[in-house]
Amino acid sequence: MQVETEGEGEANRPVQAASSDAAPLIETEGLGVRFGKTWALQDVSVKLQGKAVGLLGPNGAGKTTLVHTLLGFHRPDRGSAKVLGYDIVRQGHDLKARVGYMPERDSFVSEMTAVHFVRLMGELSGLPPRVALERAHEALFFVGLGESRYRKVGTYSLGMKQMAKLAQALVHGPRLIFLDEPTNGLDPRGRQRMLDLITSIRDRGEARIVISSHLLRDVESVCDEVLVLKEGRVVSCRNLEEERRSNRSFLEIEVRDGEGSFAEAVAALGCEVAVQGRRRLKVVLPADVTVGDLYAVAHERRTQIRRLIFKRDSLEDIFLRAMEVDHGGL
Amino acid sequence: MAVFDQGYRVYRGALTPAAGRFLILARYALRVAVKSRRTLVFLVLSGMVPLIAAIIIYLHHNAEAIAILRIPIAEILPIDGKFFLWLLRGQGIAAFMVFLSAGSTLISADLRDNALPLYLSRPISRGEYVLGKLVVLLILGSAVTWVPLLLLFSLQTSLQGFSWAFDHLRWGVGLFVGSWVLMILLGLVGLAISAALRAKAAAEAVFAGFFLLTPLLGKVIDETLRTDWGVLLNFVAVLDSIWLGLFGLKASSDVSAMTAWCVVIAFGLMAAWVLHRRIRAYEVVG
Repeated sequence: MQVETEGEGEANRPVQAASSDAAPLIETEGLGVRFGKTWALQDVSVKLQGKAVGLLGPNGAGKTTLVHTLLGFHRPDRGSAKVLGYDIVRQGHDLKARVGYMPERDSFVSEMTAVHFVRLMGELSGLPPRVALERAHEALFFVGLGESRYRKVGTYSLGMKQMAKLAQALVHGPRLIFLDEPTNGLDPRGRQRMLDLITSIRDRGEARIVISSHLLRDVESVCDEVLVLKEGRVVSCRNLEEERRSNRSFLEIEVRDGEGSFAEAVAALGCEVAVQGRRRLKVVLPADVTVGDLYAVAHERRTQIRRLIFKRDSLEDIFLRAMEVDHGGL
Repeated sequence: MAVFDQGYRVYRGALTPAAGRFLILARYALRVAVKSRRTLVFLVLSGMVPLIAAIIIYLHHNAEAIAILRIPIAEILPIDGKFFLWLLRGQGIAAFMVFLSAGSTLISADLRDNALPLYLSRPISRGEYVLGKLVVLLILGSAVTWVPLLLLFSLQTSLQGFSWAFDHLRWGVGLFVGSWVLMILLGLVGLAISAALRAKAAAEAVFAGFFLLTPLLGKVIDETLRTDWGVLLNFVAVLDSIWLGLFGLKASSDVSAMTAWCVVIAFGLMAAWVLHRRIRAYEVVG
């Protein structure tokens, strides 16, 4: 999408505020949202900084409720939240001009052509009419609907509607884009196209992305930070980039016996060691220690290494472990 | 425009003023509303009564025409408060037809398309959303009610002289205020029904029934419960009472002007409550 120059149309205030540039993407403190007697979100306290954040959790975990709350659809019953440094309650109006939202369910204006629909959404976000029209064309080309942009949105296929939803979320050039199940209902090609678009937005580095999804592969391929929710509570918050880096030399070792003394010797080399069970160890190697050093230690201690494999925590491992955790614990 | 190979960029230009942003909604909704042939037909037909009235006013001041036609028009149809009241009543019916055609889908279409999360995730409040939709009805209603009626009042003034307008200013004010009471009541009730029912046919049927069948319901209540309160459901009588009061004419119905105002305000508030409940970005189930 083309960048817009400053000072267009009936300009009255700049879209960017200096305060929001250095602020965390999302910062919540004891956030709680209640529907009737049921708490949909409880004591959510997080500070997310990633370029692309994935919200994970089973159905009913509170992912969509969290997104809706951050968008100002629900008023928090407890706690507070800031998005891009803007308080979601007191500065909701300012925040919404800087945020794009692609809902999970089909959402459009079926009687309008895609260009009119996306332009309307751009104008409602504060773009001057001429700029909104220009950017509507660009956004539709960007998502691959350039040739169909004069068709009514109601006549689109499911995949095209998903792309039109993405286009309306991007048209006003937001600094944060919430994507709720963006690959829902897409065929493999459409899904890959959607993920490629999201990745290209992320890599450009101008906008940050929050993806709510139950598809771990989608989140893993796009996000650098994940927040796992369960029954309205945060059960895990991980920086995937750091996990990937730290897991580069992560080893799972099975020894015949003497795991205690072997662990002590390996730790003396400067490795992080955890005894995971009888005869099983998890070892994170520092840069200057090699696998050969471990074999040398084993030889000195007369410990037989029966199995040694490089392993990396997948997002699935993180997610499944998080789901096993009791409330509140990490 | 070769833009497909360019990457995403944040918008760094300036934003339009937030205060009038609901008018964007109105502009787009108005475009959709006037695309309906039925609405256009009603709008054209609504011009017939003012056209005939303009001819009558003209004839009143054209002695030659009266002599040729040999109709004692001043005796049959005097230009007085009742004349303008009848015009208001006629245009009220026309406004009802236009609102019935254009109003029933204004919100229900957005609900069917699940478009509210898209609107409300932008810097626009629920109140501004409703206001944007209401403005569409007020524009269409104005084109049918107070604009042509005040033009007729101005025509009579230009032919009779400004002293006539000063002497009968109350009728001009009555036309303006009476039109706005009608438009706001019809608009709010129409939008509330549109928000409550997603199906267009159902919304139209309920809107028509609300104004056409409630007088019957009121009569049934009066007969069965032996009360006089049923008349409060008769919106024609309620509005007529307000209009008579505005024109300084004697009330012909059982509803006093004060009671009629209270009924209108009560129904306006009920409609606003329905809109408050229905216009949300999400639905809480269970």
